[in-house]
Amino acid sequence: MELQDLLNKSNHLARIGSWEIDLLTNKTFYSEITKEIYEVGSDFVPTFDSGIQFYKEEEDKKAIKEAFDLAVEKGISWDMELQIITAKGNDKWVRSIGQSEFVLEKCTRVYGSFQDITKQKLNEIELKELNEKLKVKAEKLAISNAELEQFAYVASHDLQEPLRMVSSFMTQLENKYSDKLDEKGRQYIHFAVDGAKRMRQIILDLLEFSRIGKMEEEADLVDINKLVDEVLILQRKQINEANAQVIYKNLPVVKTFSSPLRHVFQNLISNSLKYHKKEISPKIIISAKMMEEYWYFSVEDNGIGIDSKYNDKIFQIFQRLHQKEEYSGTGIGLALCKKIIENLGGTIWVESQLNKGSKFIFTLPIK
Amino acid sequence: MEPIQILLIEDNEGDIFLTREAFDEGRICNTIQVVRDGQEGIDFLKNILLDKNLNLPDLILLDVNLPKMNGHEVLLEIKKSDDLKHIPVIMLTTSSSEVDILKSYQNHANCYISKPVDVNDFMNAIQSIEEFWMSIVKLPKHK
Repeated sequence: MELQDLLNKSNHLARIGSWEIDLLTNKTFYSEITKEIYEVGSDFVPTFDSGIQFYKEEEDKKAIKEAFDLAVEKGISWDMELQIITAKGNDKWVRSIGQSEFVLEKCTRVYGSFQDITKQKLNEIELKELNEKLKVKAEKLAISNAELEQFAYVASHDLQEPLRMVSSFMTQLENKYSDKLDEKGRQYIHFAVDGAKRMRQIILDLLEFSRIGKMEEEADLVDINKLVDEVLILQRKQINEANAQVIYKNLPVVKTFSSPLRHVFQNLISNSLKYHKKEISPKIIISAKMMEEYWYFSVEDNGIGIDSKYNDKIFQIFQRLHQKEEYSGTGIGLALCKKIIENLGGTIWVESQLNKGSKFIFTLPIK
Repeated sequence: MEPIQILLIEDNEGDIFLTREAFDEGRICNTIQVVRDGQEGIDFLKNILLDKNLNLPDLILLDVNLPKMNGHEVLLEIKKSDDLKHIPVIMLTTSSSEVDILKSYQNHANCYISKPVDVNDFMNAIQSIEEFWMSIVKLPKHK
């Protein structure tokens, strides 16, 4: 009796109703909660047929009848999610579980539980719809991204040609008619050629930027020590000229894509070499540490530093902090680094103060 | 010495001009004929094959990005023709794409040159072509 009481209480808490159809007396019984779900009064006298009538859809009515027949004839139980319209006209989702009891191979009663699952069901439907919408959006985004990359590629490729014509014939003008031009005339040519050259570099950078993200190679185990070695060999000239010192050891082996990562190190190291203080030779420290699920890499220098208010801005494409006469470049390097690192599942940021050097930090997921 | 005949298949007027200029400044006597799209190039060659009074070019300079028929298609046509495949074809193009380079050599291009951006380098490249293909290399005599 105590056990029955406990069961009733817990059913009440979980809002699980019960019902029973006695086939010997042909009487139907609903528990209080079942009646509450149907929104009928406590004096409501249920019958088998009235129970069926609550179901909203014809096919649900048919399904529950069939399930009932199967339970009576073959002792098969059911567990279904169906829609009802309550006595007060409200739409609800219910979960109906039923099973039959047999005495001497004859079904004597069918009974089961009844639960209001409207909230869960609506959440589920909403989630499904949201997922569908998200899927559509993701597809649209993928298409527009691909189009954008294609556009950048075609634009930069086709822009090269007329640009080459401008600089070619300007240079030919200088080659052949130099003696007929005065200093001013030669300066005009110089500005035109210089402009064409810079535009060409911007186009090349744009092209490269549009290519990032197309990772056709497979992820590999990359020894970062070796990767940095390679980068330093490429930059040997700049390192010697600046009399720079590059310190790194015990960098890890990481499962990643080597060529985009090489690009990042190359960009960061060449920035450190470029933005060094005039009076002291550059010192660059490259280190790595493992924290939780990420590798943290840093490239730190003793250069001119960056005013911290520009910490975010420097990662924007074509954003520059210096006039081209001070430091050359198109302002794409760090934007490229950011795109690469984010593609690899990491983040990149800078810790720096003006005149106090810069420390670029980026993360790579370990797995 | 017979003047060397060059066929330039190129649609960019600026490049046609520069290429002519570079060859004109060269030491070797030559004549340049220019066609401005791929289809015209093939028609030009087929026409020569039909007319016994005309001579095939000794060298073909072929751009990749061409109207109507692109350079790859033209190259394919030339190299599958028994009457034309002995003519050296030099791909001369702005493209430095690996795909274009590989495809050209797979289709038996005789060499592939990316047009140098700097005009002085461009002129030098053309003169190197002249130097190599017209005085160092032995070319077959046409039938």
